[in-house]
Amino acid sequence: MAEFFDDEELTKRTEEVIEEEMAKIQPELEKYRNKLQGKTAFVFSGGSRSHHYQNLFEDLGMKVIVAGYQFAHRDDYEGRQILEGMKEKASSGILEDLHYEKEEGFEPAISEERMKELKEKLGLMDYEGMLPEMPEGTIAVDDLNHYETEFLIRELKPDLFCSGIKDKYWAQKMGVPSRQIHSYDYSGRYTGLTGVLNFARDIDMAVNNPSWKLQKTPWKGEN
Amino acid sequence: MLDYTPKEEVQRDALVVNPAKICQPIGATYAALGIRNCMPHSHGSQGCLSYLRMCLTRHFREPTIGTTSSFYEGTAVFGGASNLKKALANIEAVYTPEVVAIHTTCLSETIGDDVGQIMEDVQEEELIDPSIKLCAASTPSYVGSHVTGYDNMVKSFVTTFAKKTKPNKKLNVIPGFVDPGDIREIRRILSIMNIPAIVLPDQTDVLDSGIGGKRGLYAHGGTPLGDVEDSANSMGTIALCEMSGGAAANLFKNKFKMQIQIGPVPIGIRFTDRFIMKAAELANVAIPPELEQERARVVDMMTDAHPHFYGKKVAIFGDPDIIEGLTNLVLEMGMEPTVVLSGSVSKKFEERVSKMVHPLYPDSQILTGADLFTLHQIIKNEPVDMLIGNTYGKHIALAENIPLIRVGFPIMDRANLHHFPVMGYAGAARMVEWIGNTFLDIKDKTIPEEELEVVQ
Repeated sequence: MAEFFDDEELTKRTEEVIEEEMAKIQPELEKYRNKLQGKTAFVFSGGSRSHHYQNLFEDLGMKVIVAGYQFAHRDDYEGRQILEGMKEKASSGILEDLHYEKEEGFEPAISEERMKELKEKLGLMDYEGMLPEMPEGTIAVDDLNHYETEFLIRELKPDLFCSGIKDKYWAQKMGVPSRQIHSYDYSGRYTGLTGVLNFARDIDMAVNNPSWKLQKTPWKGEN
Repeated sequence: MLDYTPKEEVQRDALVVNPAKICQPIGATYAALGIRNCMPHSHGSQGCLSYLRMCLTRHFREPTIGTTSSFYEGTAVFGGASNLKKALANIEAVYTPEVVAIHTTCLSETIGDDVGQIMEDVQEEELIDPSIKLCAASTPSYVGSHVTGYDNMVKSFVTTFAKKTKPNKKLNVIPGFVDPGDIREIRRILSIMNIPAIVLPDQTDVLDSGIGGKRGLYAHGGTPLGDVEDSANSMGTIALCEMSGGAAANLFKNKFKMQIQIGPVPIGIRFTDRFIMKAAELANVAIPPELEQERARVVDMMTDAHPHFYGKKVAIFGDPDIIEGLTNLVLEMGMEPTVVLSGSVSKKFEERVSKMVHPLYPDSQILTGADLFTLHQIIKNEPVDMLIGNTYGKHIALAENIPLIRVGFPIMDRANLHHFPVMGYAGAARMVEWIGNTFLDIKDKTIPEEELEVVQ
């Protein structure tokens, strides 16, 4: 955001703020990272969260092994570059196409040359989608149904399942801790640097809940 | 008004402020009330028994009976033998019990009365109808606490009455100084497992009896004397509490060569698991699926409510066995016990609780032989979100503006808690619901209006 304004002083000040704020959260973050390192997560969410929470999980030393959306479009996975080549879907017949025209005398806040420069420098108004961030061995999914959700949980045994209220207790009955990533399980806020700590706390709470160690009935042996 | 405890540590060697324990005779009396048609007898001054009955009645809101040797100044000089003999003659004439369970007091112990000898004299001289059985326990208050008094009295029942005849295929359970609600829960579990049990002593239908109908001097509950005698012939003995019941269990082992298990108290999931598995082993039965399902339901409750426990600090005080179980439970729930404090002294308790708590929370304080003044100071220096203990924790809870979950003895400022268990899966479920929703009540009352959530 600072780079957008091309102001050396502002950029310098911004770097300082980031450094100061990071120093504040670092010790606590480290504490959580020690407890969560190497754990795996399954994220099935909306509103680009399945993509953007991946770096939050990485900050905690965790790995997202399954990610996907219920209602996403192709560009959410593959990026804006595919938009032009996309074919119209059946729904186009129902939904009217909207066309906009630039208002007469409209003067953009940023000149076209500057916009071009910013696009190259900052990737402004671009989105590469979720897939480039999903390394080999991870799974991107779309529009899961119950059968698929259950299958993936059973096969991959993630340490955490993040979805919504209706899936949450299915995962938990299978012995997998679950947090709602839509409503944050009535917790939050996850934005900003202190939001990272809130997120870390909630993930730690779910994954390291001691009651998961009580799942097995001791007199039944392995079950 | 409530908050005179200073935060700074105060040097004190010979001063206890607000003790976290009571005297041996109250434990002995409580044990005796769990024997059917038994008259607890206090060999001491009237005030001793008066205090015990007051305290028991305030907790249970039930009639309690007891007789006393009624010491006066002269007794302190000449001893209490003649008082006890007269008392027993009066008891026979007026109250016709099946058993008189005599316990001593500070004064009679200091005089040096040999109650065992007096009892023998009484029986030899036939000063009392021989069909009235006598037993006695030495219970000076300057040794141990109420749990020791219970322990000594139950040991006396076994020493005096238990007789080896032929195997009865039953399991002995010594509940310890616990509420009737807990005894009912243990009975319920054993009945699901189809294990016939002798609960010794048994205060159900004595200190949680119903109203209406006929009620004699003796309640219709309590362990029948025949069962106490027959307890020598059982398959095994489980003492739920080490400090109140352990001595009798050891006697079953040494005198009757019986298999025994002493503790841990079945509070929390893992300790209840251990009780159930041990009972199944001793009685040689399979554990029915019903208990597995019940266990799974409580673990589910704990999992669902866990966000409300996470990161919460709790101070626990009370009797060693009970608070060891409660510590086990709060750890299973994901809470941090920052201080676990008992008035009764037990090194073994300190070691076991330290082993449970310190790997997770190295700074927690585990104390025995400590008082509530110390507890309050610790809480002032290391604030907690909740206090678990008896009524005497109320002042601390109010001064520090934290909730008090009332568990233990005595509870005199809330009614009917003794009807409900903390033991077993049902007890764990109750605590999980109680503790979790207490935190949510506080959250709703204290949260800024704009952050109030309909869903939690």
